[in-house]
Amino acid sequence: MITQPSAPRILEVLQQALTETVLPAVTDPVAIATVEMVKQVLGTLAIRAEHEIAWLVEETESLEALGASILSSHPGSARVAAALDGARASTTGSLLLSEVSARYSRASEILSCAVEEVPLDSERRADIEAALDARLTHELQVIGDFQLVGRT
Amino acid sequence: MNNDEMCRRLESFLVAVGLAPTVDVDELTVLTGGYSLYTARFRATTATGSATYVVRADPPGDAALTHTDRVHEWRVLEALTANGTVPMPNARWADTTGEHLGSPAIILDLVDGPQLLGHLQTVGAAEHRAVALQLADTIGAVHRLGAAAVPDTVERPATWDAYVDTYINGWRELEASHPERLPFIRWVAAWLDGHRPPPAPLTLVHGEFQAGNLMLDSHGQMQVIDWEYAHIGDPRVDLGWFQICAAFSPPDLIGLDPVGFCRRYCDVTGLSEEIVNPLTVGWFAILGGYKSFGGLLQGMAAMAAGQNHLLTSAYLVSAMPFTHRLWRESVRGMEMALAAQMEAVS
Repeated sequence: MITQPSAPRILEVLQQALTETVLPAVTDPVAIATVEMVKQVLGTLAIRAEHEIAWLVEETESLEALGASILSSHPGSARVAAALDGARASTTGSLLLSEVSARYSRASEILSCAVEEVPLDSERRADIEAALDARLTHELQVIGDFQLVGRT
Repeated sequence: MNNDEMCRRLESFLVAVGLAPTVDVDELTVLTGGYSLYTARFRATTATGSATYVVRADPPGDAALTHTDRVHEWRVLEALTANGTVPMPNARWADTTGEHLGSPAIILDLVDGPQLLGHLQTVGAAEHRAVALQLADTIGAVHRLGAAAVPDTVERPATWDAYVDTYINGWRELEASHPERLPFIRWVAAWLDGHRPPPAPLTLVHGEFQAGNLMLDSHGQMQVIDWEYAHIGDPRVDLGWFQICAAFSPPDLIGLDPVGFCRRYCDVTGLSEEIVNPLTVGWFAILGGYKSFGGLLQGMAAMAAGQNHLLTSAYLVSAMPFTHRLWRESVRGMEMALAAQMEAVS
């Protein structure tokens, strides 16, 4: 398949066309807000096209490791254990986005259960906080400098 | 529906509700600024003169980002218009079934002035501080009304805890019904549950109080618009929501001087500083997003399932990470402040 120009680069060109060609020709405020929204969405898609699968795989592995670590410290964490079992059972090795996303969602349940089940004074809480921060870092890289449009 | 057709429908409707035997409607302009309803201004001319109104209508079914009830909104607006003490444009007529206007709709007076958000972006810091106190007065006037200001058809929570539980459980239920797992919501629900502030008396709450829903009239007075989420609840929900929205669209009038704002608000409402302070408002800033962000999440889920085609649903996906960051920063800030308070006491 043709990989160059890359998907992120093509999305960047689409953004540029909207900025340089479409926006100057538009006067209707609803249409301007619409174009601004499309530009912002294209920007997020460019980041996702480049990083999404890698980040999802990386985070999934980290979350499974977090679950195992929690169970070694707190063997009675039944919900974390069930979530970890669920995540591991879904591993197929496929890199199709839909399958990687589904595995990531199951691994995310490990983190949710850990938040709710691990005692607040546990040493593992720092690991849970770090996992939340890592997730947030990727989320924020996707949205870039997000600001609401059309609300003035 | 195009503008001409809407004008003709408005003419028929205004005749039907008795404005005049004949009505001409023109100058219909769709307004931007909201993500949920079709909103437009128009001029209605009768034999005795012209007036400009605003129509708020449900968009077509699959074009709605969020779904709210015009019947509920109309009952609230009708009661508040009759009350006469709330700073808001008078509600005039409603087509609650959509029989005349194509979808359920409400018509109100036009506020002839700028939206507060736009105004704030054109003035400096000194004006922001003055407007912040005006903001405390305005929302304080709403919250002073109490639950009796709206009809019994507006639900009354059994207790303060029951009210707060609907939000915390609401966050959890939203997460459970979403097509993927969302750990930040589970985390924030657990945190809210474990850090409840002292209760405030339940009263009329706007439900989506933000600078985008405030207008300045020709006298410079604030007018509160868009009451679709009005309910009986904890008044701090409005203050918290204002701060969350201000994070998306600065400036944050409450954050300029949070202690000063809370004092002014307490003066207006008679609530104590133990009830209303920057920390309790911060807690509600996180709690109160459930209904609005819930609508957003439902829109995202519907898009994922192929059930809506809204650009706003795609666009507002980015609002969630932004909100997650706000939550993380807010929780850290509040935990540090609480720890400092504990240390000072000991």
